[in-house]
Amino acid sequence: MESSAIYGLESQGRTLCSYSTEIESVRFFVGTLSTRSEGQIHQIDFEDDLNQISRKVYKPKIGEIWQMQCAPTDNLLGLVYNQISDSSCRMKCGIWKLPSEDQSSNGGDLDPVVELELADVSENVRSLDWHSTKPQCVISYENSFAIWDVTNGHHKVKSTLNFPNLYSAKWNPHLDGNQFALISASSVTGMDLRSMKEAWKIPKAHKFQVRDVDFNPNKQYYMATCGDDCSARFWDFRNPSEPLKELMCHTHWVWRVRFNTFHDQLVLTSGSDSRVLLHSLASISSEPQGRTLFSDSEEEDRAAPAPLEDGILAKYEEHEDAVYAVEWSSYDPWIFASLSYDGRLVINRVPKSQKYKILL
Amino acid sequence: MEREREGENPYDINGTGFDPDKFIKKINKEYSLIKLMDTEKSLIRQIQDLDSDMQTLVYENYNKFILATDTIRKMKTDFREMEDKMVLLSDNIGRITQSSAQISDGLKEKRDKVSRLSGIHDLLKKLKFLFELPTKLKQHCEESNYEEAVRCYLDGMEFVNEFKRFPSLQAIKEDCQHIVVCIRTDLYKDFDDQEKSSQDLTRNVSLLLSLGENSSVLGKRFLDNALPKLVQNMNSLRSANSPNVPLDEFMELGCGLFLSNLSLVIASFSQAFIQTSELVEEARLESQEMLKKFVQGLMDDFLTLMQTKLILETKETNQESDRREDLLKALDRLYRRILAISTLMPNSDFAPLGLELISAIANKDAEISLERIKNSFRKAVKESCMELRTHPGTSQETLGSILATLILQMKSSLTNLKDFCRPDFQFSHNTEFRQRMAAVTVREGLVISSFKYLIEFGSHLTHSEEYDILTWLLLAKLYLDIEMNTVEYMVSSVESEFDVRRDRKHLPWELTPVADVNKSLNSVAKQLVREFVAIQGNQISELIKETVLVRDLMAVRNEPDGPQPQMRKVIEILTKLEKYIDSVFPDMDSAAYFRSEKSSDSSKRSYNTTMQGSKGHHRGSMWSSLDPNMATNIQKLFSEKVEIFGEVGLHKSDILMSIVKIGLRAFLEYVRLKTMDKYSLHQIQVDVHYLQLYLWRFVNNEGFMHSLMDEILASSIQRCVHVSLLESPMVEMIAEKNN
Repeated sequence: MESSAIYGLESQGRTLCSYSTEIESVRFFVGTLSTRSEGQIHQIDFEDDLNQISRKVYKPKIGEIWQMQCAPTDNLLGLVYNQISDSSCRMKCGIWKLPSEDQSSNGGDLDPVVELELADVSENVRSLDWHSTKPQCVISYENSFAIWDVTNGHHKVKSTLNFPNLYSAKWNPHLDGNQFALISASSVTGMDLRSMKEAWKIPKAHKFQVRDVDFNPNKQYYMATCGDDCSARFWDFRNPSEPLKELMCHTHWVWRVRFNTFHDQLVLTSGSDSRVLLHSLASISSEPQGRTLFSDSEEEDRAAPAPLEDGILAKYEEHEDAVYAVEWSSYDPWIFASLSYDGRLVINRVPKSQKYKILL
Repeated sequence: MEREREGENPYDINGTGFDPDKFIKKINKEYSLIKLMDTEKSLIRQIQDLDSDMQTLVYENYNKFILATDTIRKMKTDFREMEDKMVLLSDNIGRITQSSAQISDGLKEKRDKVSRLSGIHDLLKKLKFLFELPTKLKQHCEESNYEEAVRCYLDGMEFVNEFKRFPSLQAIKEDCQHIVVCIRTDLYKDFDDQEKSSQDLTRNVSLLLSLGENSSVLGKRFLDNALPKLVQNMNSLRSANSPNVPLDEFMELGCGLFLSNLSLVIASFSQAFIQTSELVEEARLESQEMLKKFVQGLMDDFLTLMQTKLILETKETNQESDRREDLLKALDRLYRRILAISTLMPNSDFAPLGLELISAIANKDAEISLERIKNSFRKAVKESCMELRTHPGTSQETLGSILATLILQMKSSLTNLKDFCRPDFQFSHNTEFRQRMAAVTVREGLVISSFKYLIEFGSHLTHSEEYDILTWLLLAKLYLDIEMNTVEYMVSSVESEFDVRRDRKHLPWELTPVADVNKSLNSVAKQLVREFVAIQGNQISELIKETVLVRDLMAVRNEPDGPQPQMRKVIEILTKLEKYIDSVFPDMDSAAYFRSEKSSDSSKRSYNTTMQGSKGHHRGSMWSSLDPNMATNIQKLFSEKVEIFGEVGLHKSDILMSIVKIGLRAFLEYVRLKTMDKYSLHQIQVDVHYLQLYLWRFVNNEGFMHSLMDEILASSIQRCVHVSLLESPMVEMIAEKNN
């Protein structure tokens, strides 16, 4: 297997995101977690050809960072952080502006754009998710959620609603961005933004707690969930009674499931069994079966390789602690990063042989 | 030649190559004088002997020669006499021939006359018969003596054809034909008469056939006559097809009435149309075909009717042995009847249809038995579920009783089905029926299907709310027991009793291999254990979650005063589970021995002291001096990776270990999700110690347990804002409070 690049944080980490604006390189952000020091954001640039990592450290001057996501536009970074005082701690969230490329080369302090604080809710923030096209994000609290509008530095709450025992919220990229999913214990609910009503619901997506949900970026109605029953399940949410497919490949809770944006038959899962798995799920992907999209090159006359079969394409075992985050690069579809709790960031590639099978 | 001569000894006086010159020379040369003189003497004596011998021979032969010459001379004179006598004899014979020819010529005329007279006499007799024929016919006709009439007519017609050229005879012929038409109509009339039996008609048929009627028309008339009666029989049978009519009455209607009548019709028909020499081969075959069609239609209806009634009967009689016996006897009777009919009809065989019917009945019987096995199994599981709820710890007995019920039910069903192969039944003599019965009905339809049902039942158990979770484990054990020997035992007992050979390649039915069934049973059992472990592990995780995740750990403001109640609950649950699991999946003997050793009071204490003395202190000191992150990382380097939800072993300690692992690992995850102050850290120290005090009893790998506990503590320290650890003695004291 191709070698991987490894980068170590000095403290624990739970969150990782890929930088999704303009630049033409592989860039990830990693947040640090420490109860006894301020949180840092490490900007990791990866040179694929040289297999080299360079970093910058930003200091947003807040507590430990639990979740982080780049806005798809505007060079903004949404953070969920833990503000610790002597006698209490609270999960909050806010938006920071990332410096443009030519500014200080070693990182430095970051300035907050805005703190997204609800006046009447003192609950901990659970998660933040940017809308895929609009400057909006959905923020989930313990027992409610809110849609925030962040246009040109102004911000306002569009709507909020109570929702018991919320774990996290995530936008559906389809349906004109008018829908998002809410995770609560073992259920996943689809909410319609316009009516603020339940659009669909999978009451028992997993046997125990659901940890993550990801929508297939290329196939409407298709999504993946993962949870504490060690499985990742794939759903057509129009049929909430039974999953399309179930993967039982981890030996502990599965914390993340991610579709590849370009080739949605590639799916990553990571879990607290310290494993990162790359699956192929051609049978329920948007790729036409047996024939691939990119076959107009001069190798046309070559015998078409067998289509990828469903199954595990690769196991990545470089981590020694629970892997709570894994993300595809938004620039290069063949590269992804995973972060384990002990602060180890590993950047890996899809195995070349598999890559060619998909491309040719 | 030369060589030959050389080979011979020229000095041997008796040899052929004797050379006197050489001999003389040799003895002259070699012998002494005395010896020479002796030799001469003996030679002279020998020569004299030979001379006298020759003389005697010559005399004897001369005598014989003289005798022969005399005899020849005597024969010559005898032959001459005989020749003269022969010439005389041949002259006499010539004279006799001549006189015989003369006599024959004289008698010829008279002989011709006599023969002409006798011809005329015959003719006159025939003419007389002809002239009398119409009257005779009429007379026979009136007396209904149709056989005689037809015979006379046929004879008469022969003459009429002979004397075609005499027009006067034509009138007689017409008369006769007229009468015969009447006879024919009379004969035909009988076909429309329902009261006439088939035997009566047979006579008519043979008469009509000899009158030259078309055999196929006749055949049709014949069968048309028989049909209404059979249909009537069939209808009464159909109306008897109700649950109120007892089986023997129904069978009487079916076999006694319908089939008897049918056989009668078939017998008469084949006597009249098929086994008769009056018809040409072609017509006979045609009739045969007609009969086949006729019978086939009726038989199809009949067998369908029989099947509905008998299947109904099977449903009712499955449990009552007396009525079952009746049913089997009825089947045998039916089959024998069908065989009898088949022997009557050379071109069709109804035996396969009959066997088909019996197979269908047997299948139904097996199906009902299977249903009963399923029901009794469900009931047994349900009862055991209740039993376990009220009297925990009786799992072995319960297990035994479920298994016994299952085997008993299967055995009794097998005995029931075996009746179908009893040698006193005609149908059981058919090899194909027996094989199909054994392979399809019994082996696949009953035994394998029963096991397949168990597999299905087990794999749906975890989705059903109906059964207690403890039942899962019980069933898992049951399935493993069944896998161990019951499947093989049952299947091979079927195979030996019903004579199915597994390796027989040419069996047209696919036999499910025992190994497949066993494999499925095994995987279902393991799946059940895994699910059980996951659910129980989650129950413990939920309790631990209450102590960590849902509380605000920053808000705790006082030192712990003992382990949290949820932790006690965890131990309680595990203790209960241990008892239960031990009764279902006990450890191997040696492990049980160690456990009993461990659980004695003194050893427990000594274990505790070693823990306090070495490991507990050691750990405390390591944390205070080293970065906790590093400490766990170093530890990880040396310990193997703990798989949490993996394969679960099938012994008590494996199962408990898996449950404990799930709980502790969840503990770790919950801790990592929280931020806490030192008091909560102290609480966790106490809780972990408390768990450690009690969990060792349940686990078979303390290393795993300790490394998980170390990770919990290390992560708690990481998640603590103001780290200060309680001293070990304090922790121990608080943890052992209220115990």
